[in-house]
Amino acid sequence: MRFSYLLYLAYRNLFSHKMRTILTAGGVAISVGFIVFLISFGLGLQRISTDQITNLEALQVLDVSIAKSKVLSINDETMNKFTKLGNVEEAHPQVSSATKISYNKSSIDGVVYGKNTEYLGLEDIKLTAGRQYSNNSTDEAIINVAAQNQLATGDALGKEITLDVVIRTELLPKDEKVKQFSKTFKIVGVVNDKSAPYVYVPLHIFTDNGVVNYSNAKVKMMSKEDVTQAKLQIENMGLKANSIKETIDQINQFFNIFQVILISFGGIAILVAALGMFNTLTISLIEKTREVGFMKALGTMRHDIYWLFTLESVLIGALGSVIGVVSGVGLGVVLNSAIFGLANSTGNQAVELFYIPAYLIFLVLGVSILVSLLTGVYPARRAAKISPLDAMRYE
Amino acid sequence: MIDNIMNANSSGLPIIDVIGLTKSFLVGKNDVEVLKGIDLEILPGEFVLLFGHSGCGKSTLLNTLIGLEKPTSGSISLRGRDMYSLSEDARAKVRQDRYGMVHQQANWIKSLTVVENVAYPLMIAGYKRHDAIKRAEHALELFGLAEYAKYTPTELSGGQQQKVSICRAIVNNPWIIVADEPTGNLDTVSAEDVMKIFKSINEQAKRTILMVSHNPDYERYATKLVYMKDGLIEKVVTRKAVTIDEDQYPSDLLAMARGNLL
Repeated sequence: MRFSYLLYLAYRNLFSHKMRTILTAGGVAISVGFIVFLISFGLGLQRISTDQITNLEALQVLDVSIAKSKVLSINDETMNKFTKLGNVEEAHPQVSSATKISYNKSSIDGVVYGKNTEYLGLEDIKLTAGRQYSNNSTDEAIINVAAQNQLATGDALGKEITLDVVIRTELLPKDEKVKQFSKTFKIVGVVNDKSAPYVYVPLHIFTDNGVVNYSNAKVKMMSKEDVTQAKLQIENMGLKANSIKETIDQINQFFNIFQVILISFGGIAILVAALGMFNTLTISLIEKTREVGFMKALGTMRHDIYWLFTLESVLIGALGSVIGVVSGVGLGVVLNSAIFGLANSTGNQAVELFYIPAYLIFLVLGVSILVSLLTGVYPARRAAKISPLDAMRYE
Repeated sequence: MIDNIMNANSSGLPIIDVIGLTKSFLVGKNDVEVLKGIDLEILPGEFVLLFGHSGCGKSTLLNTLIGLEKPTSGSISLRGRDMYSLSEDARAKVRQDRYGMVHQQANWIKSLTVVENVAYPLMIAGYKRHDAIKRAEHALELFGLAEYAKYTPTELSGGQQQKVSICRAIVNNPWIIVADEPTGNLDTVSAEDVMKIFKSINEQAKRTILMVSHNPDYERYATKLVYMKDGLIEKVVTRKAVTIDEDQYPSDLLAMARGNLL
């Protein structure tokens, strides 16, 4: 028998039991839709968390800080060692200190960070207004939104603030006492951060006032593969090194487990759908025993009968899978645009909560059609083995 | 698949040759012998009527002849070829090409229309759908059933259904048509109609017919009467010797002009 005719027969058989076919395919559709929805939810969440944390460059950067013992400090000598580690692209230090920030008559407590434009570049800071300082030797400052609000500067750009900075002893050469200095800066940029007030100033402000030790440093590697090795080397120097890569790896690991759990739920759903399909096929086989017997009496080959039943199973599975994938993806798209609309109306940043790559869609389709094929094997084999004479005596 | 039947038929050898056929079934723990040694020759062009009481083994014999029931011993040759030396699928192929079957109760593939059911034997033989449907339509036309082509078979009356099953039995241009009490469920008028169709298939199209019946009235249609009793052939009466006029023998059963069959 021609394959196209087998396909036609299978289609006609399914079509003549519309309700049964729709219900069975509906079971498959629900489970496949459920799986697609769960996967895209998991992947969407994962993507949001990792995207929020970093851009690709951030994966190459190690954050170096002083270990708890404080035995070793980060100074120019240490910075020099960093650059000689191998595969290091650049290394830049930062100093942080407590400060009083004053504008007009108001003053608040905050933190001042001394860091150069290169360091800012590695941080990938987000400015809501203005620019970075033009070079590393100016007296320009960048403040955050929290500081701007608390100082009530209005539009902070171009305004002048005064910092009263206390320099802790660990930043100074050995045996020197706590130092204090005061300096006025022109605000050139505002960072989008509402948490606690802080100010960024060029590093020379601190070094000019006798600072020799740095609070921490960023070391950028040639590639993210070099990070693990460099982290080890820096830790061997007695310092602490962290990379976002580790955090991301941990997040990814969490989401991998999360995905496995979601997929197991989906797997249970598929199993239930497969059982439903198996049931339908078995009932259909019992109903058609006489018909199958007669088809064989007319000279239909066993393998044709076998394929007829398998095809019916695959057709139901394919129908259900396609409907499931379309509705699973569709639901994600609808919810995404709902979130987008909501975010727009409330002025928040929109996120894509549901995300599924095309290859996974095809994988889900493939797997569910394969499952339906396997489900059809047993009833099909039973059908192929039906004895025509017994079957025609049946009823 | 359409053999040159003229050559095959003119050989003068039996189309079906049954030698020493026995068949036992295991019922509970006892072997019940249903066929106890059947010898039967059916010649090309014969219209054989098989008589016998219920349980005498008629149906078993028929099923054995068409390759569905493997005999316990003995042999069945179809034009000299031993049926049971073939595999199950090869016997299925023989049924596809060589046999047309009509049962007491018409059997249908319920999801298909009348014309699709008639075309089914051609489809399993590998015809293109379009060609098969065309030939099936032609067959229905010969029986005046063209208007029912798109019906569901079970929407037709018993007599119509039986005519459609005859259509299906001849659509693949078989050597032999096997009919198991084809009029058993029909009223007298419909039954007579159906018998006339068989008669014309036998006489006009020169097809061999093997029919099981309970009705002694049908003796007049047959060229050979076979009486069975208790798994044996009691007697064989040849009513009319069959001679095949080769010039008139149509190679394609359906090639006969419309109306010839009715």
